[in-house]
Amino acid sequence: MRVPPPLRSTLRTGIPAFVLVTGLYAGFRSVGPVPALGPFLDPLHGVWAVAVQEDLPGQEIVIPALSDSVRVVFDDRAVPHIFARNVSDAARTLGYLHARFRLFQLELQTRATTGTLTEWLGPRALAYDREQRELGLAWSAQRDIATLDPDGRLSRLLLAYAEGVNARLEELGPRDLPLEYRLIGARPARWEPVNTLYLIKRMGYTLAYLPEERTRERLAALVGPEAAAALTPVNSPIQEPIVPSPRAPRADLFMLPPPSPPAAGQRGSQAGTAALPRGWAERGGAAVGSGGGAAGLPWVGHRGGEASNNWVVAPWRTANGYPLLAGDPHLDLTLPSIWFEVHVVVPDTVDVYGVSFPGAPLVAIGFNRDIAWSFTNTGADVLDFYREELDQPDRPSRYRLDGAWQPLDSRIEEYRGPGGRVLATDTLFFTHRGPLLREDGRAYSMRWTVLEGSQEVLALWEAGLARTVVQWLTAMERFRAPIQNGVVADRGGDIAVLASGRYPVRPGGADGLAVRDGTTRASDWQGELPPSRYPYARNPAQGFLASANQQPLDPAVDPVYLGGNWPSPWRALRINALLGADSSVTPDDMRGFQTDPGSARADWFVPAFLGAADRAAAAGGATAELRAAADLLRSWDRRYPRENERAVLFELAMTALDDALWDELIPAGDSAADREYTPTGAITAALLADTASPWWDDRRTGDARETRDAILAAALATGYRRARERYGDPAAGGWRWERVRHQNIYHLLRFRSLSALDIPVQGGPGLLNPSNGSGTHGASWRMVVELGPEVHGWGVYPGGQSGNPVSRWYADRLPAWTAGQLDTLPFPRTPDDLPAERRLGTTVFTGGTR
Amino acid sequence: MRRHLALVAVLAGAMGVATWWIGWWTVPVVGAAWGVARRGEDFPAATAAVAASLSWILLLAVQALGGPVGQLSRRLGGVLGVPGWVPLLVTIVFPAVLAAAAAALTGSLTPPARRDSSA
Repeated sequence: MRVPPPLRSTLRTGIPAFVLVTGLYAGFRSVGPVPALGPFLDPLHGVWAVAVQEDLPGQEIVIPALSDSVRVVFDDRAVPHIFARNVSDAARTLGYLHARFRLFQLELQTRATTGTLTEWLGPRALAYDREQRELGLAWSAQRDIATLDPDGRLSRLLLAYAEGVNARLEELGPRDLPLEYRLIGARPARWEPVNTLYLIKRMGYTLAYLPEERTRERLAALVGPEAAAALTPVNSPIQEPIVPSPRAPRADLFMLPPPSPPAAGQRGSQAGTAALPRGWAERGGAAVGSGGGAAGLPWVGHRGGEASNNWVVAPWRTANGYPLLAGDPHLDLTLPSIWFEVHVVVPDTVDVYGVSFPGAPLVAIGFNRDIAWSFTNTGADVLDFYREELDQPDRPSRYRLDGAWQPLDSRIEEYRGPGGRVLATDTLFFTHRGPLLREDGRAYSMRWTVLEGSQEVLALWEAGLARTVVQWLTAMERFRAPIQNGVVADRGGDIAVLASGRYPVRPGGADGLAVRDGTTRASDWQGELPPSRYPYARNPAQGFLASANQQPLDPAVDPVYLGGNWPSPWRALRINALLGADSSVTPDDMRGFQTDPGSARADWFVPAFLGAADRAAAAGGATAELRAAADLLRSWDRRYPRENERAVLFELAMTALDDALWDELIPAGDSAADREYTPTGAITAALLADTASPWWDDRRTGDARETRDAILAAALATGYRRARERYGDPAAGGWRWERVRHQNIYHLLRFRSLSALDIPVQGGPGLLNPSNGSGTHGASWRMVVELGPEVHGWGVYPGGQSGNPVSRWYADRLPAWTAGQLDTLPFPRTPDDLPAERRLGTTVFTGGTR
Repeated sequence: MRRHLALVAVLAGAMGVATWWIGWWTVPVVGAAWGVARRGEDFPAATAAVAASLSWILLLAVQALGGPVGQLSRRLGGVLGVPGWVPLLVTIVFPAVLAAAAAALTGSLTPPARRDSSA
């Protein structure tokens, strides 16, 4: 076919013009999730420059605000040892290094707290941003910083740190931009001192946002208020408190009231939701299922279940005669890690080594020349809800208090998209207690210690300066939220534990597990516990102290209300048993304990399963499946090493047990997977003693009435059947624990190719090295310190110092972490003390202009 | 032929230097200039495309000397949901498309050069 000449001419011009315009458009403008291709693909200045970004800073760096030169020596694990002449310069240098290695992480966590992710991700992050702003985290941080003395130590520290971060931003060229900024088409924002407080608030949200009121309400709608209260008790039915008790460990008599049918018209979660607004109430659990909240990120949603271990051993129980301390905080595991390892030296002032949060000028967990410390989360109840009465539900301006109307504070919140366009505008209201949430004509305010003042940065900074246990405990009295169980030891041989932070005192000494009447000040908190009432122990006769998120105080010794629905004390039982059995503990023992494969939970439940199976067999009622399952379980040593082939049976039997036992907690018409709540393992364990409890009956079996043994035997048989279905014949190798249980460490933006997935570990539910559910949670840092004449430290975290996914320091520590190994941490007194074979490079930071 | 290869090399060099000094968008600009300069000749667009790809391949090779470009491509491919070699391929094709289109467009818009009758 011949093309007419005019058309041919038009095509000769039109086709290249179209291709060129399209190419240029794609080159200059992002299209959907695809970044602008020109700057992205540019082989020198675009994404490919990420491949050649230097792992370490150059030999000389200028931070304009420095008052003196600072020398930084990098060891062979890319840990900077900062030698500064004053604290401000040390903070500036740390700020620079955090930005140098973790710039994207710094800004992401800030945006996650301030609810400004829409500016990066667009409308898909709007729901998440709204939740964050409603919680008031950014509001409270801004209020806190406005009240700081600008010449005070905290202000100076935050400002110096910000100067360091911004020095890095100012030198940032196109080739230096981290990969993630290129992928989302964004540029880094300037760092403000308040950003550090956002980070602290975020930790409060992660560790102290525990709306137990919601849990109880939902349960009460299903099984009645008495049963709901018993399922989420103030006191753990198994006692192994942090503060040693002469009566622990023990199991208290536990009676679970029979379930009462829900009120007419109520149906499970719907009924519960009607009582407490969805926004705040759902937040605690919503992200569990969604795997990351509205923004789709692995860690921005609140998951709950954060846990940790720490313990400390007196010198008379150690092989070398020196105090030993171990700590492993369990958090959501991400790449890059939440931690950045650093050593900061200012002569005659500070010489501290440990892990810092990128975003804050402090070492949170670590050691100095005299002491070592580590934290676990206390999980205290520091959050209450109040039912409020408003003058106008739709456009409120006042709330009723003691018979009079009080004005509401308000704040306009704008949510902007990537181009700056306003996506939505909200008005947030606040009572004297805190943020107000309205839904369907109802209004609730919230009071939460996390929103009230912030001295945590200063407390942790001063804790790092302490030279004795007593000084450290004094420094930590300033710490308010989230309440932490700190263990500490010094070279003099003192050991201690203190659960420090602000504990609210409710009217009449009541607990904080119910929604309160907001129309009267009589409902307000009456003050706070004095530090003398904080859970505390020092140099106990047993010679060691341990915390693993269990109830801090034995209520039989001190019944003061600190919180409720405590995690099961399986890890506490295990570590106390290990420490109690070893009167000559070595640092390597401490390391081994951190990934110990033994399980107090299995010790409790395996005999129950086997007893039920044996009784069924004796009565002639054991099926072949049950007999086979019992034989396999009996041969298990109740340990979870990677090669074990029986733990999987036990875990599936435990799942089946929860499904059959807690059927009352499944809303009518829903399946077992939709169970409203699963009580802690300690509740189940305590219920084992009540063989005829109506809770053992599985309502789904009609008229049949099951007993404890019937449910246990059926659960064991079900676990066996499921194990065979999923993993094949037990002798075929498919039941190996390492093929079943994995850790999954996602990149901050959840890109699989930047993540480390399916990592087999020696760990499991209730173990000192916990590994549950999706495997995204675990030991974020492991540390052992020996406080001898010279302090020796060992540590590792899953990841590496660099946030650059193609850096050799991005995930270099994963093999050691996976194997339960610790790296030796060099702790030089001077730059020249670091052995040459462990020295990677030196950078001198100077002030002035570039 | 040798002269043609030399011209491609020169053009690739010009595009590479322009990308290095100024930025990616100089590739279609140089391609457009090439289209004007070589109007009426055979395949100026194809020549521009080959030179553009070649220039960016060389620049990528320089980068690869200093860092793990291949690893980065694999990770990027994972992020974008495509095989690991696709980001590299797109990086090579993108400048070629721009340069070829620019050369073809200017070649078609510019009047043919007046040729010496003795030529």
